Amino acid sequence: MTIGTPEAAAKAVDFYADQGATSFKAYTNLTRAELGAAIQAAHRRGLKVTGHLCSVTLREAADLGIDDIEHGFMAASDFKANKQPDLCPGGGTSEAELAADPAKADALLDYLVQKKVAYTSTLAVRDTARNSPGIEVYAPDVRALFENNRRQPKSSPDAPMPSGLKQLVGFAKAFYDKGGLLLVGTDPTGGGGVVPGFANHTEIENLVQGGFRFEEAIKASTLNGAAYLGRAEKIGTVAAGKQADLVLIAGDPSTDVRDVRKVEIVFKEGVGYDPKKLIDAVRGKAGLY
Amino acid sequence: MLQQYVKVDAPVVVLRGVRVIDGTGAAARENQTVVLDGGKIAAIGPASLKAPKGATVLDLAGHTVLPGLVGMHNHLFYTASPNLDAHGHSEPPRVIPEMPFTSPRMYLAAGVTTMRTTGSMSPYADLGVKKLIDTGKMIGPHLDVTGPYLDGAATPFFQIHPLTGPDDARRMVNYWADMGATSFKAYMHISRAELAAAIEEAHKRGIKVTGHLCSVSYPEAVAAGIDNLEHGFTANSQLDPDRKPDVCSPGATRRTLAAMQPDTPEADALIKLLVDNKVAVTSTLPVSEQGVPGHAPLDPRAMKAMTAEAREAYLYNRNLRNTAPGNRGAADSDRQLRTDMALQKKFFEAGGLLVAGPDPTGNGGVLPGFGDQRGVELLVEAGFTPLEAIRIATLNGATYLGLADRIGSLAVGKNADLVVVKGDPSKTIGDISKVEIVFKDGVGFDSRRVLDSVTGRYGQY
Ligand SMILES: [Zn+2]
Repeated sequence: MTIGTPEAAAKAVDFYADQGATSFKAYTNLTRAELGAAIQAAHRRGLKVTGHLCSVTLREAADLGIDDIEHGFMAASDFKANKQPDLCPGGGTSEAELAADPAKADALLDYLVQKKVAYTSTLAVRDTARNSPGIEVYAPDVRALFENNRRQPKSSPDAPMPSGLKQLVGFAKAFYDKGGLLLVGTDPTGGGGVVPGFANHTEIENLVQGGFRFEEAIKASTLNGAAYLGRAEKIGTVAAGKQADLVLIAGDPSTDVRDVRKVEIVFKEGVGYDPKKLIDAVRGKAGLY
Repeated sequence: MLQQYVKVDAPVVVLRGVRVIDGTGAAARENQTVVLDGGKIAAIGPASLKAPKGATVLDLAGHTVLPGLVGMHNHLFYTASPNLDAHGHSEPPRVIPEMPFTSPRMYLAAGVTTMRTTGSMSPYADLGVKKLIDTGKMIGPHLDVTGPYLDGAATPFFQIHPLTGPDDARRMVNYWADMGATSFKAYMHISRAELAAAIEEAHKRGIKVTGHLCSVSYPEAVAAGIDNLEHGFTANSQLDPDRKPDVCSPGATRRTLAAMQPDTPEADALIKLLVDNKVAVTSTLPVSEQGVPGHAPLDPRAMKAMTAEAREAYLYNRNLRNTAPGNRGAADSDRQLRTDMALQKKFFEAGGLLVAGPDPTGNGGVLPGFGDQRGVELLVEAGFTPLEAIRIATLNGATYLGLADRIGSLAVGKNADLVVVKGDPSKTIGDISKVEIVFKDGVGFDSRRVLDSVTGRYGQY
């Protein structure tokens, strides 16, 4: 929906919270006043707000009290030379823009940590040239759409990590090492090569390739998300008394991260699901409904 | 980009040698000249009428011009049953994906120049489609965007917000009216109190409410002030012997229709109630006929527009209907269709405002646009004359929408929303499907090219 005023932003938050929404997301063309009003309305109800931002910089959003930043620095208009207040200058933030002022980047990470803003890493959406596992479950038409409109030419899963991706993992690692709450997501959008579930594994692989220890990458992908959602006492780690939400893998991803894809059973509240059967049931249908 | 779909775009366009069906029900006039100027109808006259200087003249001998259709039950979505197989098994949930690309094009190509979305599953998407069409970034009909379905707690659709009571109904109406919705639709499980509250809020804003009902009977809805009833007489529950207030019991509407034969006092009383209270009725025969084995033709144009997956699902559904052991329910469905048709005719003859729309849902066989055309054919099957059927599908819809001063019939000064078909639908109603050019505000779209652009896409987006 398009918001017109701060009052409309607060009204939308209240309307959908009444209908059952438990979190909100701001997007690329909100004004600071609208974002501020939405955050306040959500916080009054104890709900969190994240944002894939552009018109509002990450630093401004942190000042307004945002809880989480989507895509990390990929969506940081703080580094755009032509940034005007409340306007999105267009285009993502490029590798060169992010590299131009390392001290500024470092200070912004410090600021996010200080303001207790979480940071959602979404690397798979930038890695569809090397990796698009799972596209075979798409409907043929949908798959063709991706293959025929690749944003980057296809490379191979064994190709070295592209420098832009490496830079983004670097920011995520720096944020993590500073004590920030790093979250992990996939964002199955973009050119179509980011497949739900499969891309979560790509994400973990990317974090490890980019310098995270495997255990750190897993913590970011599990416990940190649970902590952000306020559910860490129930889920997010394997511990006695917690909910039986767990994954059984054939292999040892702590020595070879690629084993993370060898999922054999997924337990949710103690019920073990067969991933092969689940995938077979949607084969040729994903992308349609 | 969109220019490729335009066949005629000139300040002044003259259609020569055409038969005119004006949408009022008046007899067709042969060999007419129609002048379109600045998006309006500037003149309609005999062959001797002079073309203005510099006009683009189209020689259309053998063709008929009629008003653009006004579709009154025309969703922008598709209904999918995931992993449907030949035995009719599927897995939950029943999904209603938006078709914002294909649907508006298919409607326009079929001659629909104005339509109501009649219940939205993706209201922001419907509002967005309207904005894109109105700003020339997409092609499609003028839209009356209906807000999200107003349904009660028992709603079977996961994409519908279940109302929690009359206050919630008021909140929904006001919120979505603020967002731009210009009509509302109540659904099968709404309570009388919720319906009355929704209607009251809508009417305060001058917005109309229709309903595909079940939990609330037709007389109860009339008492609450409803403006329109969907699906002819097939969604009324008033004569169900086991009826519980505010509850939609399975079979209640079928039992009511079975009991309400056109010659009964109950039918007389209901029709009088509707006419006296100026409640419109929407004929949706295309979706109803899908329940009758072998009744709906297999339209090759529809087959071509569907994705492979949508086509497969429809053919499975169709085959199941046609081959069910002993054609279970077949005779009953046929009777129900006949009764509904007869009641619609009786309502129309009593002076009721009958409007039409296809309702592209159900088993997947009713498609945008093609369904609108089929609806007109089925009205003729129901006993209306072709000219009456065309009026129901054009001027009557415009009248309900309060737009009859601008659209709905061919008259000097009205918007140039009109359809050029080959043949003579006043004699052969099937000719209504032979659409060649669709004028919307004076711009003539090439029906075939528009349809070609959605080949294999209906069901995907
Ligand atoms: Zn409908």
